[in-house]
Amino acid sequence: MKRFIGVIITIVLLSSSLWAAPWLGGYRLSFDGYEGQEGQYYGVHLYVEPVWGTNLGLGFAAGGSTSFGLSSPSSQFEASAEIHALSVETMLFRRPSQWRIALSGGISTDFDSYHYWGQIDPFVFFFGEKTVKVLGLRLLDDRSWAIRLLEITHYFF
Amino acid sequence: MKRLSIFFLLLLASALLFAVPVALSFETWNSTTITAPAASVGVSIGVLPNLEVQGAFFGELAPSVGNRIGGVGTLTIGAVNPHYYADPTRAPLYFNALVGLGYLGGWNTANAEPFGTIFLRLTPLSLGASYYRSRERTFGFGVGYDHYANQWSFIVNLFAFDRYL
Repeated sequence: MKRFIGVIITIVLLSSSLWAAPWLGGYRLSFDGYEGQEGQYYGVHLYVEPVWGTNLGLGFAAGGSTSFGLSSPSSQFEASAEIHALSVETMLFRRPSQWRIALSGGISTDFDSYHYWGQIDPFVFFFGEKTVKVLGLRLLDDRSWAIRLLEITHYFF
Repeated sequence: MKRLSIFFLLLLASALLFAVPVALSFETWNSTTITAPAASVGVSIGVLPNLEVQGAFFGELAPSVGNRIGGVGTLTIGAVNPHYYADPTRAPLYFNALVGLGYLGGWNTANAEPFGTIFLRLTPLSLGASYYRSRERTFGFGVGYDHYANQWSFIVNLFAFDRYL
């Protein structure tokens, strides 16, 4: 009985500290173009950021994108992890934002083949309830590249 | 291209001279004519309170950088509200919707052919104005007619940003 109560108390303590932490999470829209391919990929992803702070954060995303048949493969799925650093207050937009830099890495697959990739986003703007990235550069394991023209992450929590 | 650059420089210089609102603009482009991700960088000049002229250099970013290059020119009116008032102390509404008539044209370096589209565009969500020093335009969409290929196409500007000087 003592052991059972001890386990329950440990689980409650661990989970309460976990849920008390200020997680960020929401959905993400992305617009990508790949080297040597006409068409572009329109993506929807889920995103969580369990570790986030003013100057450093760690997030995970998973989702899919489609080119509506204009590129090959027509659709693909991806999972990634990203870190962002820096926090420079800016009034570039109509309300205050924080300029950041993000680095991410992940895997894309259409379930027939897969690619590892790394990405750098030099223009990341955090507004509190959303993050906007423009002109991200992605390098793939086959030495090709892609441009993430625009990425919008809207946080639900 | 040299003439175009001189034209834009003259336009910018004369706008600053006559103290009308001038913004540096960044805009993303999607179109059935363009097919790949593209962006434009240029200026937006409020020549009249309810008429804005936009001129920008345009480039495709994939499948290769500069696959299609060219320019964009647009005449835009505010559908809800003027872009600004002649009285500079009077604030326009923060929200506006925009209707624009424009031309997107240039050169396709991949197949060495020109392209050109006349388009009509509605931007339902425009937040900010010259009075507020910056503006964001989202979900702009419209129809265009490619007079080289003789076909209609859709044009989408998901996100555009203007920073007033």
